Amino acid sequence: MPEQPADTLREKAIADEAAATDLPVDAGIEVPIAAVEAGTEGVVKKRLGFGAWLAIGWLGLLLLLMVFAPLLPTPGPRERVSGLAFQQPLCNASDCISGHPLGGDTIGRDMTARLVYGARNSLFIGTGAVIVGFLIGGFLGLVAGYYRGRLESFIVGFLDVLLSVPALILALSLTIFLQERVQDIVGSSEMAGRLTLTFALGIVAIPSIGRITRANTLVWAQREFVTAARAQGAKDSRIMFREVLPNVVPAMAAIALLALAVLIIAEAALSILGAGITPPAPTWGNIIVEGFDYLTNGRAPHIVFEASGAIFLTVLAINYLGDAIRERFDVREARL
Amino acid sequence: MSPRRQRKSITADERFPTAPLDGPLLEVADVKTHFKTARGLVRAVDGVSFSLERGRTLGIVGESGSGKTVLSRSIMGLLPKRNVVREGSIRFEDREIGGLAPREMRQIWGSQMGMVFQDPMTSLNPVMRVGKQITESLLYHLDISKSYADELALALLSSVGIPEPRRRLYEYPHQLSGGMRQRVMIAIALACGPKLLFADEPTTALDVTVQAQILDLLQTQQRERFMAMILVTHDLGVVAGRADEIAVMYAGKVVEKGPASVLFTDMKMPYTEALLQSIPKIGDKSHTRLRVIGGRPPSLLDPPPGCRFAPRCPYVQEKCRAEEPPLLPAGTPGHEFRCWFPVGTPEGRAALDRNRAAGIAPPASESVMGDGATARASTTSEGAI
Amino acid sequence: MGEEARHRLLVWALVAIGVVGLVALVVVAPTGVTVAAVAALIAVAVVAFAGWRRLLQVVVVLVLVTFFVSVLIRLLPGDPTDAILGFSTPEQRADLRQELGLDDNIFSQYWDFLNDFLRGDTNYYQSSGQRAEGTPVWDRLGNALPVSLLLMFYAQVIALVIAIPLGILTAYRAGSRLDKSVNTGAFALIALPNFVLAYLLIYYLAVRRDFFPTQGYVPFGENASEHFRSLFLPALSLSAGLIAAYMRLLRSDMIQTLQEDFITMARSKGLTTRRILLRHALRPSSFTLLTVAAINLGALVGGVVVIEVIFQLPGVGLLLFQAINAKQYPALQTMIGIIAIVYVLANVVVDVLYSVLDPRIRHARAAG
Repeated sequence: MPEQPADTLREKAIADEAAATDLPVDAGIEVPIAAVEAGTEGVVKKRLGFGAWLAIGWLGLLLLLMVFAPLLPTPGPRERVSGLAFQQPLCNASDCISGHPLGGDTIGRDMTARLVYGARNSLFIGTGAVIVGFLIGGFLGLVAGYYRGRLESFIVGFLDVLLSVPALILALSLTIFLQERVQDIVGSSEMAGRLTLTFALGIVAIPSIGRITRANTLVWAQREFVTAARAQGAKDSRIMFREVLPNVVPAMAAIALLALAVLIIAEAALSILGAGITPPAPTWGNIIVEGFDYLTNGRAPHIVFEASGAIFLTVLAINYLGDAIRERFDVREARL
Repeated sequence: MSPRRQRKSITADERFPTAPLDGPLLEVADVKTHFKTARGLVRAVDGVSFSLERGRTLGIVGESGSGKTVLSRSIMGLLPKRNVVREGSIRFEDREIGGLAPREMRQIWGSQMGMVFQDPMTSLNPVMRVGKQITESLLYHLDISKSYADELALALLSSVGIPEPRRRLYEYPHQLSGGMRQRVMIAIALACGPKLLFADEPTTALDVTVQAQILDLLQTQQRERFMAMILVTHDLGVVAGRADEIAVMYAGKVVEKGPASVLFTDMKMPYTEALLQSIPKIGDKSHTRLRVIGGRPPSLLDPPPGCRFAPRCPYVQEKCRAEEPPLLPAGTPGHEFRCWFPVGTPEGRAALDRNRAAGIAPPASESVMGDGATARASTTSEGAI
Repeated sequence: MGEEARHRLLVWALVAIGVVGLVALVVVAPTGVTVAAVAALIAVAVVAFAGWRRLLQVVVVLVLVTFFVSVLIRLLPGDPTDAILGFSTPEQRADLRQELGLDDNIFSQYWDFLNDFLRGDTNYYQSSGQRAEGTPVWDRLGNALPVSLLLMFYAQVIALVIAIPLGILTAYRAGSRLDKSVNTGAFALIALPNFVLAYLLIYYLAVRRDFFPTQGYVPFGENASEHFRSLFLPALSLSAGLIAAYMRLLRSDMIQTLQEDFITMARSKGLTTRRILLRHALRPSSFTLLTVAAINLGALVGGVVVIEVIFQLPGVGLLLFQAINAKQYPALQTMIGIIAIVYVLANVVVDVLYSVLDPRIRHARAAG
């Protein structure tokens, strides 16, 4: 068996827990850390179940809406429509404006438009963060798993340090202190917000992604085809990228999905804390924040619930798919 | 009153009326236990019948996979909840217990029937003190006070031969040696004075030197308590001299059954002969080759037609492969066997010679003698080991 | 008593003394002394149970973390004092720059920061240009910390109370429809972010019906029942993810335990199912669960912050939130630093305790 990254006992306990839960340990903000050993009894399902198709359906719908957002028959996300404020979803009364199935927000903007553009922002940030995490963390993990030795210890130590800080705090500090500087550079506050959050969340994702990449690399790098390639005189970098990496990628795809789900939630959490993209730019988190007071006074709870529902459904769908892929491909789960 | 107190205030006789003392304690008729698995129906026990009188010992002998453990669990009723098919009748003290629900079986477990398990290390709760594990059973079944239960536990421990019993009461299983753990297990099983004791490979996990002690202990306890015992083992040496009756199991069926003395001297089933033959004898010269039974037990999933031992039997003939032999009585009363060409008969000898000539059966020096003679001669009633 | 029992007694006695001593210190001594004492105690414990190398690791991490925090303020564009002080004179701003060490190089700034930080000398500025007359950050945190800790503790309790019975039940009836539906529920619960659950609870239990207050906090001393009412919804929201995780963990652990031989043995003694489940099967499985619960205290930090903001509970999270809104960057630095350090230390302590209490590790060490 390859050496497990669970170096301390605490991590072993987290690993045990994750092995039992099969999902991200804390759906708050931390990206799946644990090393899941090959302990699952599940038979590998050949065909995707009903749930998987539901998940794909929702995500596909979301993707379509995001891509074709400008073509939607709704007003823009910042356009105010007079009389639309606080309108309930699916409102049939005489004083309701038709054509706004999801209702209106606090100042009269169409909820559908807000949500769709919010999806754009939220998913942009989430995906961007995952990419950043993989570019840095994945690279570090690959190198660590391949070269071993002191380089590996150093990288693992670095990842450990990043892990010692609570994830939310790390993301918060980076976002708060960086956002204005980025805005100076970029100009638009929305773009600045996007980039800062992407970067901050990406940094947060690095240690977990690094760990798991390393674990998967360890398994593949010990195989004989690597030794064979080396015997043929191939350069290390070539072996790493042409032989080992393609085998690691499928497992990482599952992790990428699960990380995306966690980071979407993280972005919303940061917005709630006031560290997200500054309003009036729409993100799912921002929409929640704007609508919160009208949840507590009961006038317009739909604002918060629609955005929350969007987050929940997306995360549920992603978790389901990520799990299904991981069951198939993650080396530590599959029976070799 | 809470159900617990209610239950306890009934006397033992009301709870479980004793049958007249002259009938058999246990009657098992055509018991079958099949497991439904993903690969099909596993016929672990496929039609076993016997009866057992009070105070007598029955030895059930068989290889791994013969179904002997499943049989003892089936009679006790300790099978998994789901995916189990049970047939046949089990009568304990003239009362049918085969189809009882666990709730009713619980009244029998511990107080009427006890079981000693194979591996005392895993069968004792590792995080519970030894004394507690004994008194737990006592307090549950008998209407006694806690201090009295502690006294009883102490007495039990000394009666099973554990030194310094008072100290042991407070120790954990891992602090005891293997032999002592098994004695504790016996104490637990005997605690409430059951009428029938199952000993499921009680000595397999122990050192050879300790094995005899444990078997002697079981025998002593049985005689003192007038308890019936079913001794399940794969080792013929264990039951030699300690069982009144022996049943040999193979592939889920009883292939030979009879009083111990008769079985050892006048076996009929080739499998029994081979089992006896395979025991290394003290009288053998050094470097004598071990006589093994070639081949492996059949899959219980899809048993082939005909006798189940046919693929490995040196006496096998065409008829054996085609038709399954029924259980037939032999000369002596109580002796039954299941074979078309039994050991010690002219048909059997002829079959063996035919096979030897054809090269199917190994020559005499390596395998069965053909008449049980050598097996008879070299097995004394004290057992081989 | 056996060797094992004596060892365990010793450890618990130490822990008890440590806790009592700490409480006494917190009450009696000024903040600095308490902090120094706690730090010393932790250092000793780490070296005793985990060796010098571990201590070095911890120190390195702490240095890096504080360095990172001290550098944060430099990330701000332009002159950060503008944002901090708002309306103020250039002299006041220059003073502040001097004080924050912004004109020096990074390392002397770090040194200054560390000094101020350890002495608890960082204050909460207000845009009037004056130092706030009010309480410095350390003290504010001291007031806020108990609230956050209580919230996390209640969340754990609720999670365990719900998860343990469910775990036992689904383990006993593994594979049944009940088991499958509970598992699906747990899956959904993990995907549900804690703030979404909070919104649902607020709306349906606090806004539509008046069972609980929407926001706000009542200390225990004031009114015990109101205290629990005010913390119930927040703790419940926090516990959601934990419930699912604990339930799954207990379930898988117990399923394995239930297959052990001693369970069959217990059945053969005639004991009731309930007794077997609770007295025999639960005990070995609960150890893992409790240690994971202890470890998870750290994982709750992110959730606590968000929940406090939503429910306006005066804990550390709300403090953070207020500092963010007021753009009080130095105060933020201190807060972030403190939180991070406490998190690191708490994890180290749990790690060390884990290795001490886990009998497997202890035996391995005794043998090797």
